[in-house]
Amino acid sequence: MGFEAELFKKGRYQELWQRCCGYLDLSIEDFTHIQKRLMLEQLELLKKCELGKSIMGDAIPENIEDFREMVPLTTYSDYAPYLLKRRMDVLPQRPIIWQYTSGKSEEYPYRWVPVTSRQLDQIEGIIFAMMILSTCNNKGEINLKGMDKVFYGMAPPPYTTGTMTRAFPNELFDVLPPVGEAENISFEERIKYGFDLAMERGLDLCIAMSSVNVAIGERFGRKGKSKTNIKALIKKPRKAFRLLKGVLRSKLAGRPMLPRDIWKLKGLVTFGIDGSVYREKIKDMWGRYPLEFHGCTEAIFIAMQTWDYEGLTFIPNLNFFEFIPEDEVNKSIEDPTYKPRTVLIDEVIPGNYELVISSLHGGPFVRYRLGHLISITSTRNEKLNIDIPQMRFLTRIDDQIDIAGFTRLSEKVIWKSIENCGIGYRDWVASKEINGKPVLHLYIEPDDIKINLKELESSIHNELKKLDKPYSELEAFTGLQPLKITLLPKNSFQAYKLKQQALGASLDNLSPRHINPSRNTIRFLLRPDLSLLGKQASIEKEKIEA
Amino acid sequence: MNLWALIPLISCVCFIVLFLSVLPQAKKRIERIFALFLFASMIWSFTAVMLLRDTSASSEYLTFWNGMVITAMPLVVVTYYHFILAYNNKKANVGVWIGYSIVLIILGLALSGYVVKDAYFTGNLLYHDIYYWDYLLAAILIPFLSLIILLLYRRYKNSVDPTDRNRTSYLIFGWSLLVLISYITPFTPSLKTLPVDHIGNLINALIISYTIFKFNLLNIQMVFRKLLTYVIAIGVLFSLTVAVFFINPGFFTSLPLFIIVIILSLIYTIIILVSSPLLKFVSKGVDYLFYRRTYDYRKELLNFNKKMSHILNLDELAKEMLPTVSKALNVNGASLILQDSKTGNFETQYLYPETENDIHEAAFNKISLSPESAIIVWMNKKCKPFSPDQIDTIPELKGLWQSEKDIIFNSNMGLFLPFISRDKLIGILTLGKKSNNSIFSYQDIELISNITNQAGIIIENAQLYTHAKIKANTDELTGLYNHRHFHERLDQEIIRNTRFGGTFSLIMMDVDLFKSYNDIYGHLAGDRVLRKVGEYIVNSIRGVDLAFRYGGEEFAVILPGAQIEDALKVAERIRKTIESKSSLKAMPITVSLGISNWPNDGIIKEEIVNRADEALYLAKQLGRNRTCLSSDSEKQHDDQLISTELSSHPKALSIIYALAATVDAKDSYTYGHSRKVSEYAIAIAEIMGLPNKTIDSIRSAGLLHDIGKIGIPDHVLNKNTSLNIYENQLIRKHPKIGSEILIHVIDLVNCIPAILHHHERYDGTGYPSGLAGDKIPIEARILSVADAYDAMISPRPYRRQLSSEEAIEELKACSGTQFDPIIVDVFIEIIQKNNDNFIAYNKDDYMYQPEGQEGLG
Repeated sequence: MGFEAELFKKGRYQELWQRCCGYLDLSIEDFTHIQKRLMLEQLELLKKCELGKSIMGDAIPENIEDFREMVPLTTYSDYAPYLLKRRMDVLPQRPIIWQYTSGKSEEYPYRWVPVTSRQLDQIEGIIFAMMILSTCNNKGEINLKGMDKVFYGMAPPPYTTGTMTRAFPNELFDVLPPVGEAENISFEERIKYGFDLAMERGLDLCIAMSSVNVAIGERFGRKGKSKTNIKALIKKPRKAFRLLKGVLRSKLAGRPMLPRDIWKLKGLVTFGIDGSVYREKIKDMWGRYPLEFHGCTEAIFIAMQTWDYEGLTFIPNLNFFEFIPEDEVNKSIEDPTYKPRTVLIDEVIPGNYELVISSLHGGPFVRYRLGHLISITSTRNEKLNIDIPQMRFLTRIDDQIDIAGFTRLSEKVIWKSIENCGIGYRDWVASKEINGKPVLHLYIEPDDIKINLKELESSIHNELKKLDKPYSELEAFTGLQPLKITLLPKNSFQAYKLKQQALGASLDNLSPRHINPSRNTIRFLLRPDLSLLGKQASIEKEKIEA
Repeated sequence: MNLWALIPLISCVCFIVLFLSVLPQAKKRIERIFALFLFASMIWSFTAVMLLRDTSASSEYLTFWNGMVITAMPLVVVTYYHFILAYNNKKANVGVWIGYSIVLIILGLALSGYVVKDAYFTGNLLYHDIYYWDYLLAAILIPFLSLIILLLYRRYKNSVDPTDRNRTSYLIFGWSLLVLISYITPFTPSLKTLPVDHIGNLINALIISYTIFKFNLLNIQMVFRKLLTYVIAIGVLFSLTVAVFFINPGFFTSLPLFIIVIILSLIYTIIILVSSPLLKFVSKGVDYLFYRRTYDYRKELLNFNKKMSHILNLDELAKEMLPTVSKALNVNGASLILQDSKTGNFETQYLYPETENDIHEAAFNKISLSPESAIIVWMNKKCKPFSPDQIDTIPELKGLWQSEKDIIFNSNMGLFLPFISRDKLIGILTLGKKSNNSIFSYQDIELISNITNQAGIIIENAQLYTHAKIKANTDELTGLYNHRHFHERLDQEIIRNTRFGGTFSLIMMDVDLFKSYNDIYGHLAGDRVLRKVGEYIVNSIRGVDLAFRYGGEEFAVILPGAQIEDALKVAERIRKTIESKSSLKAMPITVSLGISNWPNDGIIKEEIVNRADEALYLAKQLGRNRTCLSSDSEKQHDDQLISTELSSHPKALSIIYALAATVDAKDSYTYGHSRKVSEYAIAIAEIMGLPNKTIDSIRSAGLLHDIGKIGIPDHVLNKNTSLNIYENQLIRKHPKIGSEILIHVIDLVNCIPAILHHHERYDGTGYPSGLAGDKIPIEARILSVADAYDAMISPRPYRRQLSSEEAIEELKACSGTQFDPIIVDVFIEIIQKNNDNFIAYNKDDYMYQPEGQEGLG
C-alpha cells in the first residue's frame, strides 16, 4: 500500500490533499524550482549511465542553462538502439516496468519505454489527484470513500494506461472488473464485464478513454431499443432496479437511455488526445464533465484539469518541461538542421508551443520532442487562483496521427495502405481533423480522376485495419470509421512544387510533408494555382526555342 | 442536601469545565459535535442533580426531573454516536437523525408524563415506577451503543498508526465502561436506586479528556490545561468543606445545606481567583502533572531563553542549548545545523549526545544539505518547523532529491526548526524522537520556537564573533594559527593535561636556508614556499593536531595526547612530504624539526618550547633536513641522530645556495646572475642528454661559477668604467680562486672543472689553462655559453644591455671561436623556442618554481 493509500485509509484527508493536489498551490517560482532541482538530480544520474553519455556526448552540464545549451533535442530514434532491446544496464535507473506504444510501423512496431519505481511512486500520487479532482467541487474537498465503485476502462499493460493500473490503489476501491480478472480478458470483454458489474453494484467513478465513454453512451441508446432478458434480470434485482430507473428516466425525458439515467457519478476521468472533442457529448451522456488529463507513453502524465474543468495544469514532478515556440517549430520543420530555441515554464506566454520533456526520477528521455503541439491558454488560472500555466492540447506535429487514443498511424503505414489498394496516384498528404469526432483525412491526387471515392475509402480503410491492429480495434470497439478521403485536382502537387521553387525553397521542401502538413499547404493543394503550370510551360517553350 | 447528589454534581462540574474548554475552539465539525456531546452529558448530570438534591421534594417535582434524566440519557448516546461518526470522517447518517428524533419523542412523552409514573424517596434512595414502553425505548438505544463500539473497533483494526490505535483503544475502553456502568445499572434491581450511572459517564468523560491531551485527539489541550488548574483548586476547597461537614455536621446548621455548599463554593472561587500564590502553586502542580520529569528542564529552558542573549560563542551556545532542549522536550538528542563558510552547505556542526555510545535508542547521522536543496529553500521561505513525516505532503518539497530524503530520514531526527535572522535562514535546530515515541505537541513546538526565534540573531552574532576570532588567531599568509594563538593553545593544553592527566608533544620546525631562497628568488616566491609548507603540514597531521606559523619561516605543531615517538612519526612525515615535493630544478626546500614532550621535557610552557627549539637547533647543526628529539640535544652526539636520511645532494646544495647568495650579494648588478646561468646551463645539458650526475654538477657549477669573485676587491667588481690590465688580471683569477675554495668541500669537487674552465675559449685563447675544443670540459663549455648570454642581456654600468636577438647574433658570431658551435646551436634553439618562458615546459613538476622568475632564471 502506497503512502497516499495509507493516508486515505486513515482518513488523513488534509494531508492526502496536500500530497496529491498541493501542487496547485505552488507559485510559479516554486514550480520552477522543483523542476530545476529534479532536473539537476536527473543530470547526475545521466552523467553516470551509457544512455546519458550517448545523448549528451562530451557535454557535462552543471546547471540548467548549460543543459539547455549543450544537450541536443532528441527523438525516439536516439533511444531506439537501447530501448527497443529493453536494455536496463544503460539506463539512468533500473526500471521496474516496461510499457509501450505504437511506433513507426516497420522500423519498430512498438516504442518501448521504461518506468522506474520512483516514477511509479509519483504516478500513484497523480492518480489519486486525478480521482480527487474529478470528484471534488472545491479546494481541499475529498468526496471519495473507501470501496467506491470504480470502472477502469483503459488499455491493459504494457500500454501506459495499464501501467497506471499498477499504481492504482485497487485495494481501497471496488474496481470493476477486478484487475486480476481484467488482465486476463480482452479489452472489449473487460469493458462489457465492467459495465455489467456496474449495473449490479453501482458506479461512483469512471476512468476511461474518452472514445470509450462515448461508445458506451451510444450503446446504452441502442440497448434501450433491444429486447431485455427478464429472466436474467429477476436473478439480479439490483441490476433490474437500476435498469428500470434508467428506462423510466429516459422515457420521462423522451429520449434514448443514457448512462446518467442509471448512475449518478461522483467523478469521471477521461484520457486520450481527443478528450476535448468528446467533452460536451460525454457531459450529455454521463451527466458531468470529464476531468481530462494529458499524457503519453514517454511522459506518462503532463497536465491535468482541476474542478473547473477548464485549462489543464502542468504537473511539476514527473517531467522537466521545455517549450518550443510555434515559429521555431516551423523553422525546424523546414530545416531539420535548425536548432530551435526553447523556453521554460516560467517564461511561457499564451501561444502555441511544441512540448519538450526530460524524464525525472531516473527516466530515460532527455530534451525529448514529444511532437505535441499545445496551446498555453493562460499563464495562471485566475478563477481558482492557480499560479501555474494552463494548457490545451492542439495536435500532433510529428510524423504520426493519433486517432481517439487507440492508435498512432505513421507515414509508412498510411503509404503502404494506399499502395496495397493498387490505385494510381501522384502523391498524397494526410492530416488529422476534428469534425465532432477525430478524422484521418487523406488527400490524394489520383492519376485517374474518375476513381470511385467510396470504393477507394473502403479499400484503404481495410488495408489500414490489416496493417495496424489498434486501428482495427478502434472500429471494432467504438464503431468509428475515421478515414475520409478527398481527391485533389490534377497537378496539385506539381503546382505546389512550382510555387515552392518560385519562393526559393530548398530541394527538401519542394514537396509537402506527407503527415500533418500545414493548413495553408492543404488549402493550396485543394485549390492549386494552375497558372503556375502555364508559366512554367511557356518558360520551357522559350528555352527550347532559344 | 442528599449526599447521593454529589456524584452527578461532580460529574456536572467536570462536564461544564470540559464544555467550556472545547466550545471556544470548536472550529471544525468534529470539535463542534464533541462540544454537543459534552453539553448533553452536562444536561444529563444536571438533571440528575436536580432530581436527587432534595429528598423532601414533591412527587410532581421528582416525576418531572426523573423524566428529564431519562430523556437526557439517550441524548448522550446519540450525540456520542454522532461524534464517533465524525471521528471516522463520516457525515451524519440517517441513524443520527433517527436517534435525535427518538430523543425528541421521549422528551415529548416525558413532558406529558408518560415516561415516569411516579418517583419518591425512601430515606436517601430514589424509587420510581416507569411504564413498560420505557424498556422499549431503552432497547431502541441498543443499536446505537453497538454501532459506536463497532465503528471504534473498525477504526482500531484498520489503523496502522500506533498513536491513532492507542487513541481509539482509549475511546473503546471509555465507552465500554459507560455502557457497563451507566446503561446496565439502572436495570439492575440492587443498584437501580443509586445514581451509579453517572460514575460511568464521568469516567468516560475523564478518559476522553486524557485522550485529548495525551494523544492530541482534539487540539484543545492548552485551554483544557488552564481550566483544569482552576477546577482542581476549586475541587480541593470544595472537598475540604465537605470533609468539615462530615467531621462536624452541626457546623452548618443555620442554613440549608445546599445553600451553604453553593455559597462556600462561590466564596472559594473568588478567593482562588484573587489569590495568585495559591493559583501559582496549583498551576505548578498541574504543569508537573502534565510534564512530570521534564518539568524542571522546561523551566531551565525558559531560563536559558533569558540568558541566551549573553552567549557569544557557538560552542558555548550548543553546549548549553542542546542538552537543555533535549531534556525539556524529552527527546533522545538534538543537533545544530549551520552553514559551512567554505562549502556553503548546511551541515550538522554540533550534536548531542556527542558520541554514539551515549545514545541508547538511535544513532544520529550528520546532515549536509546544499543551500539550493528544496528543504532549505522551503525553511528559508516559510520560516516554519517541519518533521520528516511531512516530507511527502509539503508540495514545495517535491523537488527534494532522493539522496536528500535519505539524509533526512537517516538522520533519525524528529523535528527541524529554523533559526532565522534578518529574514534569512542561518541554521536549523533538529530534535530527535520523543522518548515515549509520542508526537511533538503544539506546546512543545511553541516552547522551542520561542528559543529558536531568539537564537537566530544570537547564532548569527556568534558566527560573526567566531569568524572574527578565527581571523584574529589565523596567520593570513599560511592560513595556520598564528603565534599568539600558539601560546594560548599551549597554555590550554598544559592546563588540560595537568587537570586530567595525559601528555602532548610539540614540534618546532624551520625551513632550511630560507634566507638564501628569499635572496635568490625574492620574497614573493618565499611567501609561496611558506604557504605550501603550511599546506603540507596540515595534510600530514591528524585532525586533532594544531599547526601554527610561529614566525618568519618557523612553524610549530601541538600534538595532543601524542607521546614523543608518535610525534617523531608525524615530524618525519612532514619532513619527507616537504622534501619529496621539492623541485628538482629550483632550489630544494627542506625543513629541520625539533620535538619536545610534556611533561617529560618540562611542565611549564617556556621549558617545552625551549627544549623543542634546542632540538631544532641541533637538527640545523647536524646538517639540516632532519628531525631531532629533545633528548638528542642533551647527548650532542652524531651517532644519536634520529634521522640520517640526508643525502649529500641536498646537503651540498644547501651550501651552494648560501655561497651563491653571498656572491650575488657582493655585486649588485649581477643579482640573480648565478641562478640564471645555472638554469640556462641545465637546459642545455638536458637537451644534450647529458647524464643526471653531470647535470647536477652543472647546476652547482652554474650557481658557483663566480664564487672566486669573493676574492676580488669590491671596487674592481663594481667599477663603472673599463678595467685596466691589472684589474683584468685580478678578474681573470676568479675561476682559480673559486676552484681553490671548493676543493675543500668534498660534495662540490665534481663541479671544480666547470668553474675552473668556464672562461676557456673554443679556439684555445681563453684562460686560465688555454684549453681548446673538446679538451675543455663539456660542463665548462656549456657554462661559458650560458654565462656569456646572461651577461650580454643583463645591464652593466660599462656597456649597453643587448636584446635577446642581438645576444644570439653575437653567440653565432663567436661560435667556433669563443664557443662550442654545437652548444651554441642547442642554446639558440632553446632560446628561440621558448623565448623568455622556456623553462615553463615542465613547471608543474616544481612546487617551488618561483613565479615571475621563470625562464632560465
